[in-house]
Amino acid sequence: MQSMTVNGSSQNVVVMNVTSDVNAVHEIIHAFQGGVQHSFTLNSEGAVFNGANLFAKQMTNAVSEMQAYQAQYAFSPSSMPPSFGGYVPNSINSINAFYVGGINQPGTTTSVYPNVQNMVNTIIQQFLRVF
Amino acid sequence: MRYTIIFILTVLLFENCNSFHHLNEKYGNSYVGVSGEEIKFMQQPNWFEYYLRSEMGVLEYSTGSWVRNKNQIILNGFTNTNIKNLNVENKITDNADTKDKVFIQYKTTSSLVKADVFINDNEVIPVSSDTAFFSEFDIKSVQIKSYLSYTGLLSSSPKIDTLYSSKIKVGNSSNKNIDVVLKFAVNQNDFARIKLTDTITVKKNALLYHNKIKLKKFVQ
Repeated sequence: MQSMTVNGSSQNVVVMNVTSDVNAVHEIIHAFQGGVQHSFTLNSEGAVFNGANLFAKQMTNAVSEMQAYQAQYAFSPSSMPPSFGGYVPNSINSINAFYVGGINQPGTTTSVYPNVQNMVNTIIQQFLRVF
Repeated sequence: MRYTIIFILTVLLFENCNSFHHLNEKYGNSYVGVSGEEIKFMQQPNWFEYYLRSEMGVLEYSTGSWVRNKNQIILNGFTNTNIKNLNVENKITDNADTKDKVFIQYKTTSSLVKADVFINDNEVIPVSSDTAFFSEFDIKSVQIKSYLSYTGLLSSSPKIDTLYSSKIKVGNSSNKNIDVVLKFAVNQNDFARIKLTDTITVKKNALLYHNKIKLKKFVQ
C-alpha cells in the first residue's frame, strides 16, 4: 500500500509487483482482499492479519492464500507450485491450508507462508493428541 | 579452420574466467514472483544486501561486506555483536538558547515502525518523523530505541524485537547549552535481520550458487 496522487487527490494505492499473468491473477486477489474487503490490513511493507487469537490470525492468512491459489488454479492449473512431498493440487477444492502451508522456497525447507505452516503444525499436533 | 578453432577456444576461455567485474548487480531466484532469495552486490566499498522475500514482505534480511576469493564470494553479514544495532549519526554543537535542544532527522517507510529517544537514560520521547524539541534537563546522554507496534499477525514475522543505538555521551564542560542532531533511518526489514556468514559460489558472471540454490542475475 502506497500513498500517491490519483485523479488529483492523495489516495492509498495497492502496488503489485507481478512477473506473469498467472502471478497477476494471484496478486490481484490479495489486492481485493486487502484494499476492498479489508480482510487484512496492507501496509507499505506487507500485511497484518487480524483475528481474536493467534489461530484466528493464522487462519485469516491461510484463507487469503487459499483464495488466491484457487483463482490462480482457475486461470492456469499447471502453474501451481508443489507443496509438501511434491504434491500439486488436481482440483480447485484440493487447495486448502495444508497445501498452502507446505509450499517451500525452492530447494529449501523454508516455508513461503510460515504463519500458515505454523497453523497446520498446530492442527496436526492437536490431532495427534486426540488420537 | 585453424583460426576458427582458436577463436572458439578464446571465447570458451573467457567464458570460463568467471569474470565478475560488474558487481553492482542483483541476483535472485524468483518463484512465480511470490518469493525467493535476492542478493544485491555493491562495490567500493564491497557491500551486500541479502533478502529472503515472501509474497507479502521480507522474511530474512542481512547486510555487510563481501570478499571475493577465486570463484567464491564470502559474505560477512550481521553477527551477534551488531544484529540489534541501530546506526545513528550525531552532531553536537553549542547553541545560544537557554535550554538544550534536540533535532531529530528520522526516516521510515513503515507506519508500524516506532522510535523513542531516551535522554539521560530516563526521559522517553516518542518520535514519528523529523522533529525538534527542547530538553527540560541538561543532556548528558541520548539513545534511540526502535520497535514495531501493531495488533495482528505480520505476514512476515519479525526476527528482532527491538533495535538500540549505542548510548551517545554528550560531554558539555563549557556550561553552554547545546544542539544535538540525531539522524537515523529504520525500515521494517531491520526487524527481519538474521546473522549471516556464508559463501556464494560463482558459476558464471550471471549465475551464482547459494547452498545449491541458483541465483541468476536480474535483467534490468
